[in-house]
Amino acid sequence: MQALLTTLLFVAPGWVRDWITHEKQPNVFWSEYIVWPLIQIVIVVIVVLTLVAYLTYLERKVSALIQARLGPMRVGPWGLLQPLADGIKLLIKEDIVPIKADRAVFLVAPIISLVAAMVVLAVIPWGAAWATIANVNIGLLFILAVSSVGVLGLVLAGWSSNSKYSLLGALRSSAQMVSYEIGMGLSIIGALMFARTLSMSGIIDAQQTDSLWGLGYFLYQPLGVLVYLTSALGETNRAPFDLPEAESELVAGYHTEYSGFRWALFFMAEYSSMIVTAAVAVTVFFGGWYFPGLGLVKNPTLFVLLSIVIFGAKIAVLLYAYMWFRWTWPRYRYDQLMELGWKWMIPAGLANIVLTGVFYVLALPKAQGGLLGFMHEEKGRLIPTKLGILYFIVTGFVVTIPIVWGLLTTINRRSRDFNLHEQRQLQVNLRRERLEKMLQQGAGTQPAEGGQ
Amino acid sequence: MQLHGWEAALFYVLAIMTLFMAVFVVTARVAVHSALFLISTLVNVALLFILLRAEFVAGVQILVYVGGVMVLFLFVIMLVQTRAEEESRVRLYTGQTWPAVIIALLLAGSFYFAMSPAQAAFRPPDATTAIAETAERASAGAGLNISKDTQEVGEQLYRQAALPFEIASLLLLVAMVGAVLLARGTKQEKYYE
Amino acid sequence: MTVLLALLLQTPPRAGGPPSPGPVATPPIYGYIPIVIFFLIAVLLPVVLLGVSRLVQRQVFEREKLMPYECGVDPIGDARDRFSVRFYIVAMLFLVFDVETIFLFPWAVIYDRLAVFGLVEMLLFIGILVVGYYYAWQKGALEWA
Repeated sequence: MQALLTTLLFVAPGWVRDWITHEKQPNVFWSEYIVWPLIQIVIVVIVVLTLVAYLTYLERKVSALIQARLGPMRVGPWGLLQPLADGIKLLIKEDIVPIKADRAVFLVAPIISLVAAMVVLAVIPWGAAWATIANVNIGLLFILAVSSVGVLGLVLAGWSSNSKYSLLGALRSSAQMVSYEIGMGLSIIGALMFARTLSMSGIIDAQQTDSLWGLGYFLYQPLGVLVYLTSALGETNRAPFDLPEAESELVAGYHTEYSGFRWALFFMAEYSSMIVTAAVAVTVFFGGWYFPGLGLVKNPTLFVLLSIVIFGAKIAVLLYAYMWFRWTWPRYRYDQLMELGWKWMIPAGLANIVLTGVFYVLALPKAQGGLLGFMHEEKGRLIPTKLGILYFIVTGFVVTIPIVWGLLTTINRRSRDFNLHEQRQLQVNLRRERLEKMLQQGAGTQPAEGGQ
Repeated sequence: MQLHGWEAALFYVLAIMTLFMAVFVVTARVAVHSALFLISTLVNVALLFILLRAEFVAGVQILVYVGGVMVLFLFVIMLVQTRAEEESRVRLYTGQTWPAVIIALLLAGSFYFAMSPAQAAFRPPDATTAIAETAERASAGAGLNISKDTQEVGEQLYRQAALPFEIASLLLLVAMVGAVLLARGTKQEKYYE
Repeated sequence: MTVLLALLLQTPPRAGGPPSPGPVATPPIYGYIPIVIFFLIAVLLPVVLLGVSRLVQRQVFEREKLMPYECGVDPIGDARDRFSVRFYIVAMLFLVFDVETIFLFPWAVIYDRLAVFGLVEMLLFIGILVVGYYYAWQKGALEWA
């Protein structure tokens, strides 16, 4: 009897215990872990959804301006209400489920995609102190893990539609996403060696002490940044890697059969994963919500508000870069895309880890077996000295990049597929040889090859 | 470490959900539906890991199993034509059902007897130790109130288990070679050699 | 009975000394509660939006409309046919490299303490995998032609 009571009391919530014992305990649980996060989450969801809507508007505006057009101008001033109009249009559109589709999977797939893209927003440090929703030990791993689940949503969508275009598009995009996921994972390891934590807030704190004026690890890890940004483009299926949505070949890729708001869910997932990859890049490489001079602000509320603004501004710059890339570079061919992922990004990521490891060990304090002693211990953390900062920047830019570039060009020297110029030259040379042979055989004899 | 309060309740809810999902994996007729149920089983197991303070393992569970192995499974299911089996009116429960149930029960029984020594040593959870543990963990997080799980995993793996770790890399090598060997065709062979 | 009492109070028995007030130390695991709430909201959001959409949309069913799209022609055969084995190789290789990346995470986090030993350990690990990578490359598993 007593055992049963014990068990029951273990399961009972705090207020039941308070009621039984008539003793009010200071309980921060509800305010700290339920109510405040709930407010934050609602704000973040609303802001991100608005941002997603306006990203589509920006995408059209930026593309229009790049192509010397005006873009949407009809709905509201400068077309500012266009996203709203689009949203209403999508809401009242018919939601079609094809006859031959696997109904349950077809209905669930976009929800999986969207949930995987949205949940990671919980661990992103939107700002200092109270602006972060959840700070967990495995923050970065959590983001990588949950966003990799998004691939499943798209494979399932392609399979369940029972349409050839959908299936091919899904296969292509999932193969592309998993290929670039590896490059993405490898590229951030170098920064982690400096940060020594997977917690997102922890990484930002580490950058403030470790890097030059708290600017970020991109100074130490230029190659890591390059690999990360390239892989992020591939991972989010953005141009120039937008093969799954190559309209000219595959209609619309994995969401060919989707219509109405269910299609919009895929769209939202895509754009919010764009925001997430930009936010991770900002957190890991560009100093997060910190910017030199922010420490001068003494008012804590103003400090946090400014930190949120800085974080948003950094993300906005990266998002603009995404759109800029889209209208600057032509689309890759699928074999080139896979080649870039497997033969350039992965070796570059691995070489970056090895070189960073070597340089790091050399810079350790002499007591710990380092040769140069460019680091000293402060509050239980190893921090590079002034000379150490210079050393890491120089090794990053002047040593790592040339070495890795040399390595990559050496191992890829035989890949003619990747180099379009080379490929064209090959055709030109072949043609020239054939023509010369024909000329040598003389004008009188009939050329063996026709006009092939 | 012992769970109590809400955590214990959550543990039982998740455990029962895991079991149900696992049963659905076996009983679903369409292979892709089985895969979907397997995904939810694996996610539930990851949540159980988080509940048991193994955060890093939970992350690995999602990244490798849900994001990696399940993609491979779906590719395999799509690669092999299972259409005929899905649409046929063949009974799902055949003569194999009862032997399978008996073997499952035997397995459960052997698990139970293997676990019983540990069960005997089980003390009812003591509130004081739990609180002490909590306080200790909170102070270990250097005021940030986050655990040091990844660091602990690293210490164990790269100091105590350095040799098994290198052996794991050999296993990965074998897996890679196997994958390449299995899937190459004769045409490819001719082209690249 | 003492166990029961301790349970009821859920506070450490004060064994002499001054009682220590201050914030209640919560286990780090509670950091996951907001994530769970976020997950629930993220599931609820598309379901609610789709429900609203279902209410306001007009549905007309026609045989032609419900057919899979194939450039206007009636679809030929079943879409779920066999496809290139290359996707399978990519998935397998991805899995191997994924596990490798996972091994690198806890290593990078304590790299300052492992120092030279950690470097040698990881050079061996990456070296062994690079052998496999080289093999895959030589066998043409990374080609897509």
